[in-house]
Amino acid sequence: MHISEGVLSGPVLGAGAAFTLGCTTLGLKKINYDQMVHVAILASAFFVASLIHVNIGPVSVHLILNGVVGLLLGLAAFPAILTALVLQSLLFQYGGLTALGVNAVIMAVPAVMVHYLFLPLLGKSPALTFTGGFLAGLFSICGSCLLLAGALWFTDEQFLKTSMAIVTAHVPVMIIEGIITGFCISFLVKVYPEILPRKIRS
Amino acid sequence: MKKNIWGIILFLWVGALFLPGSALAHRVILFAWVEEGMVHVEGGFGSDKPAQNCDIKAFGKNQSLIFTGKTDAAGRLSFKVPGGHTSDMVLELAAGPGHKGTWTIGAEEFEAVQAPPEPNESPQHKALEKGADPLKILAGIGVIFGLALGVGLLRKKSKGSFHD
Repeated sequence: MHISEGVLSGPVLGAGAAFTLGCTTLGLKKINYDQMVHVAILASAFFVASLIHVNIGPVSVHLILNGVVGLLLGLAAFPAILTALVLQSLLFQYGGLTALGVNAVIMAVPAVMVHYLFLPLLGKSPALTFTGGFLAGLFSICGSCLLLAGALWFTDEQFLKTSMAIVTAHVPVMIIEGIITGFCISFLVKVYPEILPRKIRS
Repeated sequence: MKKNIWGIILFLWVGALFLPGSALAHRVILFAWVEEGMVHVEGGFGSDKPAQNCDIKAFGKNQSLIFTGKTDAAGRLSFKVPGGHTSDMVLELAAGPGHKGTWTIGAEEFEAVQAPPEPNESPQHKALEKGADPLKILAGIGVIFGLALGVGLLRKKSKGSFHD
């Protein structure tokens, strides 16, 4: 899911960087002191999740967990995901440094969207909480794949086949990520409900 | 008159004796092979005379021209196997009028070059199989918490100064 150096065109990289800069600034403003630990924990989870690779047929895929991060943090997911991506790029050479902006948009935009779409489902009942988590995981990966495909397509129309292959290869990941996110959210709501935003808890 | 005829016959016979030899001396010898994704060509005129600055043409399927170049001072030329080339390749060395040499590299020599690496053998896959360094993972988590602490303290400080 991480785009490497030298793949995307200058305008796409520039647009991604500008969008990420704006959203990260907004996200940082949204974080309050009490929420800081949650942001760090979820950013760490995102940072580590991408290192766990699973072989599905001939391709190797990895967990992303941007659904969990986005669902619980909202706009604050932008700085959390960007920090994790910077560290992944510097420590493990996952994705290029120049593509950081675009990679952050690919991972964080769907994450923020699932926060507004599925957060109201959490905490109502165990079944609804799991469903909310599952849908958040599924749609965050689906959105990330579509944004990745769009970035490649905007760079060169010849990337269309590659984009379609990426989306197809990630269909199993969407389902796996949905199930894992569902269980994660159900567990967190049960043992540590304070992680949910105040508006949901009250 | 009879003497002249015998003279001409003798001249032609002696000439005929030398002709194949001179033709052999200018025969172009061309040799080509594929190694590590490169086509290597070597041309000469026999007896250690390299074919210098001679035009080399490579033809692919249906005699389509896929590469042109010139040999160096040692009569050699190397070029990358064109992407997607899997058919026989005919190489032609032109060393002036009437001096031409050809060599055909079989399609099987290109199949190994063009075959994509096995997914399990690609450098990326090997790097993934090697796994991430646990120390780097811990360092990354430490940096995240350090940054969170720093931003949190800054936020608290600015909030405090605002209330003051």
